[in-house]
Amino acid sequence: MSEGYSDWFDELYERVRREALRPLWDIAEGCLEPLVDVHELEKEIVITADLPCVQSKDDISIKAYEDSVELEASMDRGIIWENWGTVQRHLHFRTFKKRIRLRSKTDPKKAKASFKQGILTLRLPKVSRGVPVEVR
Amino acid sequence: MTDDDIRIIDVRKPSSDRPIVVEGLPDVGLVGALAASHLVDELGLEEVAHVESSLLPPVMVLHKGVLSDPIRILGNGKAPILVLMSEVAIPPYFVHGLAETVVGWLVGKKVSTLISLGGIPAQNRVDIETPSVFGVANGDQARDSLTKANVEVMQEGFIAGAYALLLKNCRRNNIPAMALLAQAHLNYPDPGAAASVLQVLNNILDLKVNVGVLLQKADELRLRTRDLMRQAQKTIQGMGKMSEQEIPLMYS
Repeated sequence: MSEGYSDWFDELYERVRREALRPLWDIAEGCLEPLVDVHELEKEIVITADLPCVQSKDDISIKAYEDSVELEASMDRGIIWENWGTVQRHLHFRTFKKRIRLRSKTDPKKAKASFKQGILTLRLPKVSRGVPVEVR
Repeated sequence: MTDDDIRIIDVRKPSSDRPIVVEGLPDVGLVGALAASHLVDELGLEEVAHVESSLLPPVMVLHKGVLSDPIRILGNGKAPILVLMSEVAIPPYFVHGLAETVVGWLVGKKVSTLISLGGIPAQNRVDIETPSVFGVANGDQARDSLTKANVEVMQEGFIAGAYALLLKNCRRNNIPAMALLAQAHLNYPDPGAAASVLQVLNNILDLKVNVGVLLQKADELRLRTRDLMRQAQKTIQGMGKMSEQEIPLMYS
């Protein structure tokens, strides 16, 4: 195995491990991480996010880039779980935040989003890289 | 895996002789888990038994300062019902042994019927105001109960997960069993779907469980159960759940 491949694999493993162990809340930012789903289709990437306590599309901010999406949403109330855990009981959550890395390049200018029943759906068209090949 | 690897420890005797068991383990949209925990609150149920196993992660749960096992059977409330629930996702490798052990316990307690509560993934769930509920029966008696309650019975297709094995093992032991499955989000906690299955459970068992309360606190529940949903997402992938979307070879 080449050293480059080994480094890449180690980095990937570490990223997956961190993702699995990371809590869905952040003390430093006082925010919650929403549950998200990323589906890669042939021509687009469809991202959904579960945003309970977010009342309107006006409370959601999305920044779409070619290879990532930044999502932030304000909840309609501050959330405190007074009996939960040790340090957590003092935390006050007001927002959702999530940065999603994309596996394919997209065209952020053509992104479309909708918000229904507390679920955000974001559609990002993929940048076509395929070139038709004539069969003779 | 041997029978000794998974044990059900009795804490107190169930108060009814031929209880009905309602199962709500974490699965699609946490429908069963949300419905089961609401039933426990509404019927004022207390622990009658819990599951212990060295095959499970070493996790215990605290409620009001009291230590509990995460997989519990609760009962002795306002109705002759026992509820099997879990506050941790059930690992795929654990499901066979758990279903075998649970049904052995049901036989010992002379359980009359098992009803599993769960969800079936609906891709267009955001467009559905009130999720429909479908039934799966393990025999004629359960099928008749579903038909009398006007529940549409699933005729063809695959079912996968703990409830599939519970239905099978109950049939082997002559216990009528059925599953009530509501259209639900696959990967997001779905209190609306939980309310739909509880409405049908009310009809079948002539209960008066208040589902309005569940809908009122839907947002709070969706927030609180994100961690369990994230755990369950991983186990759902290993349960062959995608086969529930497939058409069987012998379709007729």
